[in-house]
Amino acid sequence: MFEDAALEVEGLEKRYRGFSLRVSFRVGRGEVLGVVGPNGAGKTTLIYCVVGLVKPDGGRVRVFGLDVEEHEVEVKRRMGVFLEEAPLFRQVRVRDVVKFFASFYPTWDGELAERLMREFELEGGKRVSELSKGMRAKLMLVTAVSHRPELLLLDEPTAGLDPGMRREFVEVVRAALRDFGPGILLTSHIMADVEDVADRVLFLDGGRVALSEGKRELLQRWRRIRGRGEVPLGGDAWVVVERDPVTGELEVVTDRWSEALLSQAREAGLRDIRVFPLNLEEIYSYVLGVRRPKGVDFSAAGAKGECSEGD
Amino acid sequence: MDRGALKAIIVHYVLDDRQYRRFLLIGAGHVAVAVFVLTILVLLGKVPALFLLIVSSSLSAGMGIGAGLLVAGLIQREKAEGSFRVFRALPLKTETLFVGAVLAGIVASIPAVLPLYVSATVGLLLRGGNLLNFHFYVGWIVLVMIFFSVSVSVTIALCVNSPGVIVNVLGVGSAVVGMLLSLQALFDIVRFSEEELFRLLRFVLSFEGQAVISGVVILLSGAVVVVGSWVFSHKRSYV
Repeated sequence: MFEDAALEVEGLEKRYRGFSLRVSFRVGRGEVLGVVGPNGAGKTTLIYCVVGLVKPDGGRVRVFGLDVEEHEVEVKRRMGVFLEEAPLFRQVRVRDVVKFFASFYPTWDGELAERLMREFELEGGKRVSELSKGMRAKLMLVTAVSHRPELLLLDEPTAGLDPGMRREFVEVVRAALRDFGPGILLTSHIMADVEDVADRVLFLDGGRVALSEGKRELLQRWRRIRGRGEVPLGGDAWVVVERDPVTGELEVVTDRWSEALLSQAREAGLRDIRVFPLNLEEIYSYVLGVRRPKGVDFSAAGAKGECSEGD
Repeated sequence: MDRGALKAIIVHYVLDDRQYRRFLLIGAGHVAVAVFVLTILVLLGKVPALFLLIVSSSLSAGMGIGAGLLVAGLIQREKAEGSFRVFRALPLKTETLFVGAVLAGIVASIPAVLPLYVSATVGLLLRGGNLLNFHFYVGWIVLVMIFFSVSVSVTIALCVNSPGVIVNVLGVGSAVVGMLLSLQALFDIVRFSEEELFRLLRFVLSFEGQAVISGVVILLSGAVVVVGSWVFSHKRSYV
């Protein structure tokens, strides 16, 4: 699965004063790569470099094996783009926006666009400026998917949307995956959305890839363990070690969970053990957050032992 | 060049965006009515025909240049609100986007000018006299002026991301022109005799003079578009 690359980014560099982006990654056909990171991590710059809104200072971007700069039109015809910081033309009516986009894509599916507009309750006669933020996002999604792109770039698509609209959005992305299986590059602050749809997760921090791993593997190797007793093993297995001051219970977080690790903890005298899975947001906070201790290697390569099914 | 894409860009600025429609219906519409009334007055012999020619030509130039500036303003507005970024996400070469925007400016100026020009032409034709040829001359000059103005204004709007830079460019340009004029007035650097001035005027009004001047202006406009297109295509950022 995902062997053919929909998007390949090799040594992409973009330098600004006080910030530089340097990343390499690939998105397979039909694969969803979720890119997460704090403000200023370079998520939007990354998308802008791929789309051509800013010219990179180095590296290569290839879509379906074609260089984006050399085959701009051909590549972009197979690409759908949702840019949070590029609102659609405010003074133009919804139906004219859709018609405008349709004229650029030979593969435009008018029926799909109509159906999505009906489902999203978008009124063709309204101006974009009269739509709420959520409805504008829906319109942008209609324009991004109605030509059945083979690669979808979604930059913060659910930012500022209420939970209901976010849910609808995720459903559309899932439907697109079922229907025509595009590779998807999704950047977001909202971990729940990334966790919902991503196959692989890339944590971006200060313009660098802090971690890139399959979502399932990532969720499997992170666990929170609670119990009574002393810290069971050497410090390198634990990302965080805390003791509840009231109950005296020990809480440790590991990024290299395995059944063997649990057995070792039991053997070391940890009692009343309870193991909890971590969600992506918690992992994100440990990987990029202030609680990260120095010298800990978070990469999958640095993990010891085999991952097992969580409790 | 992708003709479908060019058409879509022109339709976007000229038909889809309501600012231009407002300009056409309210601004150009009012001016067209005024010129039409003036034409009636000329036909009734209440106003001299030369007056119609001067007023219609001035207003044509104003409306045509205004329409081009409006398209430039729309581009700057889209840049300010961020929607211009959408163009770069579309399957569209930067050169096509550039030429499409310039063509949109030219196309936008035609409906703004045409009613005035047609009205004045009909008035001068029915009134008779020898002003009709001069009217065609002036019409051609106005057309060339509009082409040049649209090329410059849309090129600046596309190549410059910040309206502040445009203000600075216009400010510095005006200051340089003003300074040169002041130097000429103060020190009389280039001296023309009355005979030379008349000769220059006769050349300007002659067919050859018209051909040379309009040829130079068209070449200049073309150069602006070519250089602008190159600059636009090689920009490091469209954000």
